[in-house]
Amino acid sequence: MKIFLITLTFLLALILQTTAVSFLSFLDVSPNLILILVLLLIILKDFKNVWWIVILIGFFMDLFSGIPFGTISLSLVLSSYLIDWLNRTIFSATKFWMIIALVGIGVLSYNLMLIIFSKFFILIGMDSMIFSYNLTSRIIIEVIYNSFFAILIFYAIKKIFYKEANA
Amino acid sequence: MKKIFKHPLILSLLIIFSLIFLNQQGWLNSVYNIFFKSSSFIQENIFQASLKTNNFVNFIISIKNLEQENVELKNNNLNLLSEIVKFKEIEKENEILREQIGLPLEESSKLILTSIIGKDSSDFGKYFLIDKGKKDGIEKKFVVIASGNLLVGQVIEVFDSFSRIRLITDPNSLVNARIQDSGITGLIKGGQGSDLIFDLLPQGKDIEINSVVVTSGLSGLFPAGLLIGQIEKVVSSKAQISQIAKVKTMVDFNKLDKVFVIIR
Repeated sequence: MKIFLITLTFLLALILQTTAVSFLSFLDVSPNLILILVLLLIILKDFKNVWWIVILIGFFMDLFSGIPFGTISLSLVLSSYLIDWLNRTIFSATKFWMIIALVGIGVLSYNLMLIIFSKFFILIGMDSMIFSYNLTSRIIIEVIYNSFFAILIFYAIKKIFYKEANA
Repeated sequence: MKKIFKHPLILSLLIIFSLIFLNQQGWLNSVYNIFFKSSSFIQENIFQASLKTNNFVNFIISIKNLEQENVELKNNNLNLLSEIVKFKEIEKENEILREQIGLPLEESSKLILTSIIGKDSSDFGKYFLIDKGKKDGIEKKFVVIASGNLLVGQVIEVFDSFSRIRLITDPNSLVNARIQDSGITGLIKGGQGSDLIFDLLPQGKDIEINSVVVTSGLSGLFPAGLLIGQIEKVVSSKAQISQIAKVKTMVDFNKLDKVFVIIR
């Protein structure tokens, strides 16, 4: 039941990502709702328990994207694994700054991998694509903007689940 | 060996690479169709609702400037009406002259009205998903416009009932264009945000701010005369062989919900 709810939440988030979320753009960067939810899921649960959800969501995001197919799935899985590893080895307690740091690293690694994999696919002739200008400033805005939304979503989830647990 | 393949990361990577292979072979097209078909109803409704909310918020924010904007629009409207009258006269004159020299009259293009049902899931590209596809006669490279002959983009992927269009603001988009009054030609590329970059403008030529930029029709991909935008800023350096200008698009991509596909 829980897994079904999580999958449904992600599918709804995917539809929101391609419709409503794009209107929340700031300096041409809109929050990546899916990435935030995946990173929070990895922080709250282990990668080994939810890896298939990450693949499923990455696959659907690839369907909705115009960038080379597979780029998003690969970036999502690898950045999720990195965050899971950091969460298990370096960060231990679920604290405010830890969430910010992990989401920040997650968003940064996801964007860097997105660029690396897209360039790799172009190099091997599978696709052709030119990236937008000012990538560095764009990634910095992505990290700040998504970390801000991640905190809001994390505390919303915490409040809902705590309420449910206390009820 | 078996243990390695059971590792979630290795397993994930194997699945993803298999999906990439299947997609390369075109075996995932039916998955695309099923997914877009099943999600299109919810997507379209959420998109339209978000668009309305966004427009309402923008309206509230800009409410204090409405009076001034109204005066400006009324003036613009009067100017445009007088220009329409002038152009209609020229059109009639053109038809008479074409008949006299035996040239066939220009055929108007067939247009298909489509609704935008979604945007790109990543922020790296600027794409829209529209609700018409192969079944409706849409093909790759067809040009997409908004009402008023405003250039929006080009179809880059076609599925049975859906198509993906690349906006002119995407960094991968290239359009041959010219400045309407002076006839100076160049290449329009996607820039930062909703702005465009007008590249390869010849050095030494005067480029006026606010000049209208239209498609030149040079490559044959885009019909000539589609409105693109207005020159906002010119960046000229003698060290470069050409000038660059920043162009503000005429289309407000955040308010767009319906577009037309030009059928060739």
